[in-house]
Amino acid sequence: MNDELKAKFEPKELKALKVDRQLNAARFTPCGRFLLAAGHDGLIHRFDMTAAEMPELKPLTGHHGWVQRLAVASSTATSALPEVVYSVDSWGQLRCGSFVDDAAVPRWTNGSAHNGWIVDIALNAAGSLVATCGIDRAIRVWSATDGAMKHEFTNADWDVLCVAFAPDEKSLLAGDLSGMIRQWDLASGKVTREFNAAELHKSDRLQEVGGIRQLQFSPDGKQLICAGTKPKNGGNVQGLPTVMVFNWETGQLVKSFELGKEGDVYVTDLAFHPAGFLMLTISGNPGAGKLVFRRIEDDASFYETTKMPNCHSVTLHPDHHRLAVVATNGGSNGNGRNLDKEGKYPGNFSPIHVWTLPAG
Amino acid sequence: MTPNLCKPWEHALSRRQWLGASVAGSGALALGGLGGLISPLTAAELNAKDKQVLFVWIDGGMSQYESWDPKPGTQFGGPFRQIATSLPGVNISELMPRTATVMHQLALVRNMCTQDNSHSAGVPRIQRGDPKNRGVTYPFFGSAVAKLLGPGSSGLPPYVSIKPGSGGFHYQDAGFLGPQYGALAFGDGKPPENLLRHSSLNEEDDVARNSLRTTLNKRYVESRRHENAEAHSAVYEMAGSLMKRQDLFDATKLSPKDVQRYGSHEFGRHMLLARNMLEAGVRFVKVTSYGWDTHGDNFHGHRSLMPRFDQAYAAIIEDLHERGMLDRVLVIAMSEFGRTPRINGHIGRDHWPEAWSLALAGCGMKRGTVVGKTNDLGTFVDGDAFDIGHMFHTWFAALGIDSRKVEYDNHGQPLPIAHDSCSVVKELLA
Repeated sequence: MNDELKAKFEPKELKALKVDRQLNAARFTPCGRFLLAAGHDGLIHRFDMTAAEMPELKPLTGHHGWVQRLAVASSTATSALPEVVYSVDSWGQLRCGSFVDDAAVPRWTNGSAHNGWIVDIALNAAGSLVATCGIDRAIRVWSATDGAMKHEFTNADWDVLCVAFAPDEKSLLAGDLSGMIRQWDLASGKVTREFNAAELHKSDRLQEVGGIRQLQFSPDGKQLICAGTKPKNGGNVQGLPTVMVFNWETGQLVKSFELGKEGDVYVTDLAFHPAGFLMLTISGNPGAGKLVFRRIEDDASFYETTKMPNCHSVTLHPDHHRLAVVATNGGSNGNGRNLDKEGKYPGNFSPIHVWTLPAG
Repeated sequence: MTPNLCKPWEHALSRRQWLGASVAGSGALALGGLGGLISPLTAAELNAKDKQVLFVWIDGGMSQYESWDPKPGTQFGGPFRQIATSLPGVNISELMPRTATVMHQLALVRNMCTQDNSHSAGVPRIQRGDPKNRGVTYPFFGSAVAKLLGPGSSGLPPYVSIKPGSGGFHYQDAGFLGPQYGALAFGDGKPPENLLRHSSLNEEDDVARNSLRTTLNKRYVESRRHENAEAHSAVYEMAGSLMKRQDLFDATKLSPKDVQRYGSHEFGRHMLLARNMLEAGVRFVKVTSYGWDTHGDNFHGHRSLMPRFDQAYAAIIEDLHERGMLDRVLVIAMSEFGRTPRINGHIGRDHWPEAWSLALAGCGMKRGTVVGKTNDLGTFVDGDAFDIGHMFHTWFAALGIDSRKVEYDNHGQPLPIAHDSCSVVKELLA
């Protein structure tokens, strides 16, 4: 544990925002005024981050099934359209809509962007292209301005679980269930390189377990980071939450590290802090969840908290002093009939824990 | 002294083990004969003797939401959509596109509500029909059918189990019926090792050796427990019958088209072997698929599991129909329970016996029907619920066995063959 870094960046919890349904992901808008959260209820929940109480605003509607992921421009300067969020759902819809205006009319939408569950979305740094992937094994690139499809690739044998644009934006990286990351050249539509992270996959009986669940480049564009779990078994999936780092230029695996025990299972999200360290969320067995801060070059994390059960997403506010983590209520599991005090069958929910970070 | 029933058939089975374990040789046993039944089968019931059962056991608990009873767009519905089926007005999960095309052949039960939410107790409890406690261990459905309908004319074992992992003889399935009604399990669909006669032994010597063994066994059994001897003999007979049907296990004889249709994965291979076993005349074939206990990552898990189930299940329904076998083969696909509506923090679903589904097809079942329903959220049964006892009565009826008249005789103790507080679900029967 690096005590110096810990002292410099140890966060303090400010507030837990209450949402009565489960959430898949959260992102701050580039202007910093809103926190958006993708729900199992087909809504994009919004919170006003300009008010001290951070009240929930009217949610954005129009999705079906689960809203799986959100993408916003990295800054207000790089947004093809002002003040929009790109969102994907489990019924195949890709949607671009205002995160300010709560009217349901989107800027553009494609209800059949994929056949079924869209698992990930990425926006290029210029803010001009949106990439999506899903269980239909398709990888598609869309104009961020009008939703026109620009490129389409097919990953023949495996579901595609995440996408990321290469730093030069001429190619796209797509990670699949088998643990393979392929670099697709946008101009030729051909695979130009493969990165093998098969440690993040296991065939167990009838089940294919794990896969590439996170894919990002380091801010300097020199490292490709993927994450997921080293699976032990399917069913009640167990595994070691694992990060693998490839040198982008050489394609070589330069580092792989685990962030917990078998019951901790998945790295569910990651974000870079401008100071150069990774912020990662982990979720495994019900109750097992972590927020971890770690520099890639170090041998250990410098900060971890297990205060929040089953963390599914992390996002850093543009001011770099606030952090939001999507977690899960305690006692989320249990076999059989567990009714609440009113005799009703309870669902689970996802508190969003907002933390403050020291100036650093 | 209570005899120790741990015998070689409990363990990984080989021909040598079978033959070595066989201490009684009274010739072919009348497996499943009328002895042991207080109320014997009627003539009509005897006509049912060409009926067969395929029992697809989805071990661990298939999610009803991600299969037979989707609730898309609701609080607990999960990420997947539903699709229309060949049965107008009936939708199932989008993860089952092939099954959707054979839905008109199926009888779907969506209002199962059972009593146990643990695997350890729930698996045997469900497969034994959860009868009233009378101080005895009831047989699994496979053993019950082996007893009540016998082995048929195929000469093959009446109750076989095709499962991942190791094989052996599962005498425990038989409960009080006695070990000879246990399941002969083919681990990974393979026959027992060393099944064929050793090349150094010619047929004439083999016959002579077996004749001597029979004589010695007869003498041996006269002073020992009758049931054990019968069990040994039954197992011996099974080995003999299988020696003649090695072709059933010969993968080179499988049509590449069939392999493709069923899938080259474990479940596909096992279901294809099951089809061949049924065609060969095996009375009861059980196929087990493990790995369905999706407490974690349930949705990616079912996304991976369901298409493989869907592929092989739809293929065997199609094949049994095309071969005219669906009229006499009862097909049951089920788990020990369903999965919770609530999605836990590991994005899994836990055990849920309160409201779940199973699928039936074939012999005696009304085709293209759905019985029962759950409420809008899928949390509980809306209206009447069925327990496993109802299913046992119904399955027996489909096989031509009157579960109100036929009883077991457990050493003089009359025992109903299904829970006496449950009854036949008439809406399911043709």
